[in-house]
Amino acid sequence: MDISQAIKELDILIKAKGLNYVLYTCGGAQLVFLGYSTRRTEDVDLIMDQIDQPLRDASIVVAKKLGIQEDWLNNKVSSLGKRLAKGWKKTTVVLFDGAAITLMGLNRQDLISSKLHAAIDRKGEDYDDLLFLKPSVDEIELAREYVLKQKSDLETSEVFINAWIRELKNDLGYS
Amino acid sequence: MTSVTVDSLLKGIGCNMMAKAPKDMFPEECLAELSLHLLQDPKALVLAVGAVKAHAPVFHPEFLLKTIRTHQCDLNVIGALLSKTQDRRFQKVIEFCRAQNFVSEKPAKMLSFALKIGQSSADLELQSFGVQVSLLDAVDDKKITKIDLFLRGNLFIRNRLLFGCNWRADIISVIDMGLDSPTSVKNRLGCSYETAHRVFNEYALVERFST
Repeated sequence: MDISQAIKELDILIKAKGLNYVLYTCGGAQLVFLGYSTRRTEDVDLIMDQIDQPLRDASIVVAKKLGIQEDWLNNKVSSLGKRLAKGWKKTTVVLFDGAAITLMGLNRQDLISSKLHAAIDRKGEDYDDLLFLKPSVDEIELAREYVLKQKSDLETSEVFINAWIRELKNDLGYS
Repeated sequence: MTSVTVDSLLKGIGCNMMAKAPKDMFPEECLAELSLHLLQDPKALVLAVGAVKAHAPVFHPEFLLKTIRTHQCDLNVIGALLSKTQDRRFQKVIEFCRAQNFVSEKPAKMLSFALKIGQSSADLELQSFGVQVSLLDAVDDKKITKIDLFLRGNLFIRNRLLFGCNWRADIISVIDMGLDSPTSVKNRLGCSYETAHRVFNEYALVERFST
């Protein structure tokens, strides 16, 4: 099952209820929509404080129909919205434009910044995602500034951040 | 092996992947095959650790031991993953893995980078099997299949939940899959002929009386 199929099913149900939503996603789900196809898990992370009842109910109906986990649509990364720069929603990109659901993804810089943060925080687990995105030197520098701002979350010193960035630049052939 | 196949094997041990679980493969067989790839794939390793820990109760230790004796696999990875479950049922399997002094392929650079720069300590279970990688974070439970979904459409898991993690459950599974003699059951599973014969006959008896 592809999560884009789940989003299409959700779109049909939400339309039938006469509702519509603009949803914001990031991470693995966004990479699936961008065509990155390894280690694909069946979940869509939404950056929103709360998933309201009609949306929750519809996502459960989709889960039952497709035989996937009921929490496939979740907001476990909602805190990301508070870490991104003010007005981040205005720069998002459309990943899916349905009749009732519009799924938006982070702009390229925010995606790179959040992936660099995750790669360092989770000790390399998301590193391949960064290689897929092939950030430029300037994008890496902006991502570095973003990660440094998250230091209180990370318990990661600047030394470690710089070491990861050196490695990334090296792997991308910049040094 | 393509990443699609790794995703499929991950699905076979209980990860929520966008892939179909391999047809007619027991979770132990998926784990054995997967083990050869985990040290090259940080994300897959984290997912596999989460799945084995969450679904340890439906893994059959004796079948796992038979599987790793006859299939190509990374015994250090399997031993370490089983150690993480802290499930004493796997003690024999862990001891077997340790006794083989298997030499694993060198882990992917990113698996040990945090350790190398001092950001992280080493993963103790893998270290005890001679593999140096960083201590990885636990996987989010949304990425691991809940047991009710895992058993849906998975005959092996369903029968193990019904009959326990034992040869009887697995023999019934392979009979349901179409094996039609104790010899074919023994050859497929690696259990003793006596066990295959006994359960095969008991199954046939129940079938006769329920039709």
